[in-house]
Amino acid sequence: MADKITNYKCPACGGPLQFSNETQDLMCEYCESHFPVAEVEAMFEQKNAAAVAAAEKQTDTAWEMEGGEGWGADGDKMSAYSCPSCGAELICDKTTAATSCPYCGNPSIVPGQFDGALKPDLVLPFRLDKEAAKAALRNHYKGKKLLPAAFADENHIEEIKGVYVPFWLFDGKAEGDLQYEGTRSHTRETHNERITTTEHYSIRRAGTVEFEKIPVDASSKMPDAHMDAIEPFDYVDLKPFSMAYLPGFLADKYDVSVEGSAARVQERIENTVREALRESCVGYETVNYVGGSIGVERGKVHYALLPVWMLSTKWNGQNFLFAMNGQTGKLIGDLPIDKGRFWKYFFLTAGIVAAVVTAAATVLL
Amino acid sequence: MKKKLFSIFAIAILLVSLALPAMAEETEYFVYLIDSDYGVSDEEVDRMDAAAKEISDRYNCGVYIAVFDDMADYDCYDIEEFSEMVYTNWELGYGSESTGVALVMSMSERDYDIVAYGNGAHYAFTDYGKEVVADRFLDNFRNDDWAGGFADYITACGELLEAAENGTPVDVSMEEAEPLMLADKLLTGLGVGIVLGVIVALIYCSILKAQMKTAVAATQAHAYIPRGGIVMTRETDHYTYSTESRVAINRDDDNDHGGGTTVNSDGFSHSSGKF
Repeated sequence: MADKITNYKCPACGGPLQFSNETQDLMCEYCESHFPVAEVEAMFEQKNAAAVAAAEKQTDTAWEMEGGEGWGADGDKMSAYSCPSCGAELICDKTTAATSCPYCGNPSIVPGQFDGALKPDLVLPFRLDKEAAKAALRNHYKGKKLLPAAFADENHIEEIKGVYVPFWLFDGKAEGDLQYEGTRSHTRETHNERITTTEHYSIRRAGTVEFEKIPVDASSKMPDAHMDAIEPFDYVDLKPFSMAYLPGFLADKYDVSVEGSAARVQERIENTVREALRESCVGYETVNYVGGSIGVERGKVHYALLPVWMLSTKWNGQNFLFAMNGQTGKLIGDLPIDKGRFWKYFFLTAGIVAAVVTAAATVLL
Repeated sequence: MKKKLFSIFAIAILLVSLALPAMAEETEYFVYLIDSDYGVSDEEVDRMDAAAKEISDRYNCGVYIAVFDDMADYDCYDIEEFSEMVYTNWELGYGSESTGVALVMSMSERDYDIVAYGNGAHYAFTDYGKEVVADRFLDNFRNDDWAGGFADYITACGELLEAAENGTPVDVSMEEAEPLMLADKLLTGLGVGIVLGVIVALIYCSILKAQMKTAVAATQAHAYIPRGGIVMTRETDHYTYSTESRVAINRDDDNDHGGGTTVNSDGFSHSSGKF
């Protein structure tokens, strides 16, 4: 005897199936299709098993750490600083002095004991220098009509710093099996009526895709949106880690674990698979997602330092962080909005349009 | 059973009428309620019949009403085709040109058609003029006030025939708007301008504001797929079922309001719709 209630859906149209006493099988209320009970139970079991297998694929495998060595003798060449304001923990080689925190701009950072547990596996060296970063920042301000006039002047642009930001780079493979409902329609007219006929289709798409080195920043101090926005990095220049790349730059230690970052990479993988399968449904006017499953097979994880030029600045009590990809030069950073300028442009635009329309109305009406 | 008898009777009338010689200037009746009385009393029918006859004789143009329960009973599914069949088979109209106008209705589908025939009728009942006539009775019909609607139709036909006799048939060119005063133009322009200005300003300032926010979290990872992309393992598309929707077309809205009367190759002009 069944110990739980199961609702079967019609494989043709997705409507609910009901047992028909007359035909002794399962009938769909909407499209009136009939299916033998055994066939529907077998289909349901198959679907269930596929979903369980997809879930097991995720839980059985763990992210496989690449490298994972300690600093060893290199640790003696490192200095550490901590920021009492935001809690950032920065490291650099002994030849480099840190004068202020790159995250919050606090000039009173405190030297501390270097106790780095994990040495990075990979590093992407800086390709662009400080002058390029300053030029990019000045360019970022240009043309921003709502930017307060004094903001660029008070920005302390000289304090821009090169920081190696810790990242986890995830490899993986995803398998998606999704169902959709698609429609196509055509219209014809008689003398009195417009008749629209809509054809409904059951669509199924499945596929696999591999991913290499999806980056997720491993520092809780670095806003995720900033690091996402300066992607992508060109991994052609990725090198095995060496102390030789550090002098002159700061590096942040990771404080977000692999498991702590996994949810973000899982989301990005699933969204990518969903989009790719959805884009393969061509030739339909509408395509609606019905259901399905996406399984992610976890691969290797690499601990890497990626180059970012950063500047933190305060304006009207708010912190503004600018980040530039130290390899490609892509710069992002939210800018403050001058409310006075906003309303000035608003009323100016509205006034000009109103004047033009009024003048046109007196001539044309 | 009763309805079937009425229908058989009506078909018989139509068939018999085909055998009759061509009608003289007058027909005996002007208001025909077939299959049912539709809640209209005999006195009301007689009154309307007399009014229609008086107008028809005065302007030498027949004014008729023909109401049926369901044109499908006569194997007809288009109201304009049906009204032409009724007009022709019943030999309606005055004079050698069979000049006249008829309101033909099929109650089951709630279809109506104002059909005109003959140059005199086309002159008086322009495309716009038929719309004016329809506007007079449609509000009655929407409330199932058949007698009121029929009376309004006959009255409106009389007015249009009188206007035509005076040389000014009701047409769209008569309804041109008077030019606006400068103050009205300014007020209209200002009103529209302010609304449009606010909308444009909002859009423009939103764009300027969006330029100030560049830090956006990534939601996908297309850039990290090695060459080869997604490998499809299954692509199936099954047709399941079809659905159909029907929307009535109000042909009155399609009329060219440049004026005049649209006459088809059979010599009829129409204005049809749903009531």
